[in-house]
Amino acid sequence: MSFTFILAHVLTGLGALFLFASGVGVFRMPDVFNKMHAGTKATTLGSILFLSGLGLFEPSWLPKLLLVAVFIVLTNPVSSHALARAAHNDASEKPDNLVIDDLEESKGEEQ
Amino acid sequence: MKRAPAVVSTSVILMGIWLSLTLSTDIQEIVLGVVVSVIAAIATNGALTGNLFRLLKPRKFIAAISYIFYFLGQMIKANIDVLFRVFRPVIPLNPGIVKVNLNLKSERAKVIVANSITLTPGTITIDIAGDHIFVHWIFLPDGDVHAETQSMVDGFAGRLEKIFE
Repeated sequence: MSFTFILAHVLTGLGALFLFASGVGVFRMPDVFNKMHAGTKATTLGSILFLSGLGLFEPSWLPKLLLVAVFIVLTNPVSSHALARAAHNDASEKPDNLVIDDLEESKGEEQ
Repeated sequence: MKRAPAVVSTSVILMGIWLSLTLSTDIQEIVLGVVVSVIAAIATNGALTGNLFRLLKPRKFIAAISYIFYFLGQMIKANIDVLFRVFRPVIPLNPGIVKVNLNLKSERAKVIVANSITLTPGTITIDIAGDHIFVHWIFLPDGDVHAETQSMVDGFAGRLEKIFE
């Protein structure tokens, strides 16, 4: 039982925990924007931790896995941004629990 | 050739990606990688990375490194926040979309701010329009929400200004 072996287990375990929390969040949150919070944040760190843990099990894969992690950090927020914008433009997806909605007001000003 | 530094930066980054994907010191692979990276960088006019040589000044380099650590710290906080939020019997929610100013000239810096906000505690970016950014809060902060949101956005924008000024 080397130190790297234990660290790899801890990292993959933590990554799996965050990915699980993300899944639970997407399932439990009431509307599309709040689902987006769980689906974006927790998957990003979850994937980074899982991939770096995997890289410690197989050190020869580490460069490729780090590259995958960097691409996830760069692309995950962009996809959530596009989905959230599309959801806000689609009236049927709009949640009724927003306390304030400046975006809706500024749309009214443009028209 | 005003774009030459940007083209060189892009080809160096592409070459780094190629090397970490192939993990080979075979001369054929390296030559092919160099040729393809340079062609791709010239074809896109260095648009992937912009001029990275500006980051070699010590002050900007330190600013970039400190931004990365600030961002990583915020991201870990965000994930612990999500973890504790989703397993509560009743999820605490007080959502709202807030419009604040984003005074950055560089388009690249705006994209980085928007992406960083999405990965930090309790907030995602919905839209950017001109000098304004629309932020969705999962739980609106106490007090003046616009002032609180502005200070959160400025935390990122101020740090990025030192890099992109």
